[in-house]
Amino acid sequence: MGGTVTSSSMPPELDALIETDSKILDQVRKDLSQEYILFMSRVMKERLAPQAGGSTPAFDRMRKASGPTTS
Amino acid sequence: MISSAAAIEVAEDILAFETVFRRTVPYPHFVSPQFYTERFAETLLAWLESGADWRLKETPLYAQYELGFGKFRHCTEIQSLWDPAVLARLRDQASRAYGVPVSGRINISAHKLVSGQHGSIHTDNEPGETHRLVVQLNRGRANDSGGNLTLLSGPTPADIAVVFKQASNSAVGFGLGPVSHHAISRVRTGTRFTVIYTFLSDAATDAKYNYFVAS
Repeated sequence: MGGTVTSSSMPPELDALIETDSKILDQVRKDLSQEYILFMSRVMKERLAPQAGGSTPAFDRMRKASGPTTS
Repeated sequence: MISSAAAIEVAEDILAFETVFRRTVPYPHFVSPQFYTERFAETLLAWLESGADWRLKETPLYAQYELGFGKFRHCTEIQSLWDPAVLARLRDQASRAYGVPVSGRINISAHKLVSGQHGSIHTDNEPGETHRLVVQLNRGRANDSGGNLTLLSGPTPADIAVVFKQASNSAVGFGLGPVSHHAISRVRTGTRFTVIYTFLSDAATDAKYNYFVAS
């Protein structure tokens, strides 16, 4: 974890809005790490097997494919 | 023609969005504990739950159901969502919250994530989009149910900086750009609904965005 999630620096009103439970934070980190590894492995596979007709790096293409309003 | 008093009344019936906590790490953002009035939050959540015409979108970066409210202008029960007076108040209050003026051209969409769906780390750094405001709507999600909006200081999981709880009717706002890294952790249980406001710049074309306009 980046170390910036601390309850001591937050006003009490934010307790209900921002997660500080280390178990939950670890789970989020684990989930994002798994997604990140899966995504990067797909990028690497695409680079090793370039597709015809496209010189755009896979990473950029995938990001572009995400389109607007993905939050 | 609607009177200014009536316009204010309409806006007050829809938007709460009075308390805002501004934060700077990992990049400027704000969080607000109550975005809509309780009554409208219930109306909108019920509409989202009632089988709206969701479109599944899956890419290597994310998987989720989406809809754009521009295609639902005929739905009278939620039309206050894009009422020009409501959007004017939103624009003004959002400008104060962001600390910079935002546009009155506003795209409004919604996302639904079910078990297994997620949004990997991305920035949404699109030329026509300047700011994002995400409102969470649910009937109570356990802390370990997944689907947490997360802000990061960089493009890798090691850069996690803020993980938001899923308090219903809370909102998070941030500017969009090359460093606005964020993600949605994988949903484990239940359904995660969010309403997404995107404030557009002049670079956003009518061909790409089915947006609404503030009065």
